[in-house]
Amino acid sequence: MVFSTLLFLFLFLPAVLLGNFILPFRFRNYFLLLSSFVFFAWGGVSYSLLLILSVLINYFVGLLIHKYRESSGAGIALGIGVGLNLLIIVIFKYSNFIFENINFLRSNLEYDPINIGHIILPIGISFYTFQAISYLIDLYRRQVEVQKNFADLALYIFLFPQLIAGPIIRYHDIAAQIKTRSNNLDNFVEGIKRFVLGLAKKVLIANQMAVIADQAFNTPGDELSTLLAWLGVFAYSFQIYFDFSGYSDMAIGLGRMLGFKFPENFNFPYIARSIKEFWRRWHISLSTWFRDYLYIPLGGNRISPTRTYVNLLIVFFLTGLWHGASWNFVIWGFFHGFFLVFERLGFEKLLQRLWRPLQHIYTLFVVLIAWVFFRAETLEASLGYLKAMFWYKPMWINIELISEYDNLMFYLVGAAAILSSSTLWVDIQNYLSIMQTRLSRASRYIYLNMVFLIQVLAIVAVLVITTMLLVSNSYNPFIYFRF
Amino acid sequence: MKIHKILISLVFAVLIMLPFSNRILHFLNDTKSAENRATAPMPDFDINELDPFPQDYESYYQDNFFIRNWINAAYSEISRKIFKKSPTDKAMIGVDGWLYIKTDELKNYLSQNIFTEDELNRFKQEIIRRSHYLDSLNCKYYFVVVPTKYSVYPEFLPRVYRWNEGYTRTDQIIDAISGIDNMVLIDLRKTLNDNKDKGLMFRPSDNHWSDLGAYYAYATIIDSIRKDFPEVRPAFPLDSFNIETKPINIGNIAQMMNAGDDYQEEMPRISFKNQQVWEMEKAGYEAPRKFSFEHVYELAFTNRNDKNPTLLLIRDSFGNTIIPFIPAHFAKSTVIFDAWQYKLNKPIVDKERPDVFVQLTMECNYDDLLEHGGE
Repeated sequence: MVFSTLLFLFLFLPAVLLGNFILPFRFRNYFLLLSSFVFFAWGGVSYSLLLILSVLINYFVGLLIHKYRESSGAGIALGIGVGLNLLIIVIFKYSNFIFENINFLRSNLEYDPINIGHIILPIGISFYTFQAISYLIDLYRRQVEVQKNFADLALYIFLFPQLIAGPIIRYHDIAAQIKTRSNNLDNFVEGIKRFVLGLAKKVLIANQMAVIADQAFNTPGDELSTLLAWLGVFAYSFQIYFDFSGYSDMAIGLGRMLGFKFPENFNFPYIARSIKEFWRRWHISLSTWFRDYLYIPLGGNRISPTRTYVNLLIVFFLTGLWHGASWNFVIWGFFHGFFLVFERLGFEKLLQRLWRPLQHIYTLFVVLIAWVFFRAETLEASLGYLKAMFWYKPMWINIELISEYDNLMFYLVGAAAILSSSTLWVDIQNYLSIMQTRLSRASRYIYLNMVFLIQVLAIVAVLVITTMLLVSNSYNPFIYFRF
Repeated sequence: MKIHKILISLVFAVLIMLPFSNRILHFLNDTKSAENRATAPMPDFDINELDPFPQDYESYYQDNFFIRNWINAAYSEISRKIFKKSPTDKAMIGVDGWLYIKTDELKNYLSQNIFTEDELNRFKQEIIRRSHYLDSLNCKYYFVVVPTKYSVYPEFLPRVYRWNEGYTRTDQIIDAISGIDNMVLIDLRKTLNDNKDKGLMFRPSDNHWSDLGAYYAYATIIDSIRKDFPEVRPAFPLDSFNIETKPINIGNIAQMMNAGDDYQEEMPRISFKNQQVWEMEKAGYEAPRKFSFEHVYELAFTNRNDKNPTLLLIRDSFGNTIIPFIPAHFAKSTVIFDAWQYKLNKPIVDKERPDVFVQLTMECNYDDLLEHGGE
């Protein structure tokens, strides 16, 4: 199931919220577990068996790690557990890719291809597998207590707000909340605001940007004008950010409504002034996962500069591969890895001395070029797209598409996307919060009522406009589903 | 303030529960649907086959959503009137209330789908093949180019589109197939452009020609046929028809935009003053599978004059308004709507053995003819 659908918003969500508030606390975890199972099964009933298998494996491996915690058996159990999790993800996510490449080599050697059929990617597999691995490793490191209650562990892996598109939540972040959490008015209202914000990002901005991005990227490079190529890559940059951060906001908001506090996943990545900073702001839960469970165990930056660079490249190779089973994602990962290494080699110091807008331009330029590899279907298509961006072709060759972006709606969405990618709204909010403390009691009363009125109107407007768009427009892809 | 938080929670709860509450209490009624399709049915819950259920149920829920038709109409209105944008990307809004279909029609107009040498040659060979076959049956072949609205009314397009390269696929085809033996090429672009001062050749809210446009197209086709078949009587002059200006069905582009209320049109409807065409019993040819217009796949008419030649007319949706006129000139007219495949329809040709074979081909649909070449 997808958050930004009519069924979720107007049937599933009210039912879950109602059940969560009506039932006594001791039944809520079971209720949420059941709801989460329905939520997941809705995206593919057959995949549910795989998810159950994953929970069973991690539950029993967790018990083994705990049982043999004083001996080397814990390490063996951890190895088996991590291995089984990786095996699941390799089979279901990477088999097609692996055999495509094997068959490519075989065809060059004039052998017949190996046919494995087409394995369908279960939704959210990368997210829940990484969560499960983090539980096993944290348990082995004795950073968390073993979860002996099967339903509670299942809830950690199943919990529907974060199940299929993150944020990737560590067990230690949520273990205590599974046992006890507060379903109070403050949390509920904060959750509503966050959820509605995410919904607006996803439906009002990302989906609209997707129209332009899809048109640009679906046009062969040699038929693409330079203007549309640049428009397309900017539109895709906004689409992917507002899509993914919108989903994270909705997940965080839903969690909050149900009494959970999930970690943040984005922090205005497009205001970064270096690639290093970008990765501290983009998909934070994934980058910290790789940092804690791969980069640091590999030695991080503690061994030697050369080893640090190699470690960075390994991490970004796997980050790319995590996003999808294709060489384009690998190139995207290496592209970021290369610039991270480049910055560490000394460019970072030079960059810091540059005029700040130049630092932003450099970062955005690298990120934008990298998105071309991320979005295009093949390496050939990426190169064709890049050629269209840098080898001038007049706009008339795509003039048929101009009515899609030469209109007031696109200008408004574009302006909203640019402004919302910066910290402008947060800065205004912070400024007003400081200002209101200086107001007289009467003025403060008026100010608070106005803020309330604006918030209510915004919630109503977002829900009404979103509903209109969802009813009238079925163009509603969720990019991160394929990861 | 706590009261604010309570009110925000209540507003949110009321909004998300509104559709479900309405399903039980029915306090808001929906308006009539502008869609011409059946809505998705409630799927059966089959425990042995669960995989398709979620998607089927989602389609059902979406199609039967709370005041869906009203929401759709409101969205269309906001999109068109405030943002000046078509609510569907398949169409666009021109000036002075003129609407246009996009995709292939626009590409054709902008010369963005020019044929390669190979495609053009294949097209030519296909026309030669058809022409030779028809010639072997002593049947004359008329290849009729039906213009898009863009070719006749580019002046109502948004300003940015009011230019084109000038040399389109149709020009390529005309250059390529002119002069083929036993084939007469009729380019209706000129006819409709030449007669624009006599009334609207196309409906502003539709991508099809009007009755008047169809009349001038008919007259041109009959004029061409008469050069080979002098026994065919000349096209009936306009004063042979009743011409009544009256409200007509909403145009197909307005319907695509869910904008019917804003595009109520009154157009001249043309019909013979004296009956000239009579329906005949159909041969019962089998329509292509899943063809939406199966009921009009085959039509048969006569003008009750056995001295006139017989006709096989392969048509698309532009044929709807031309059918009442052309059969008035033939002893027997078999009219086939072959689901935009533009085939020769050899089995029908073989059975009917017509004297005249007319193929109406809309100028953005040449790919379909190419695709079904050789059939």
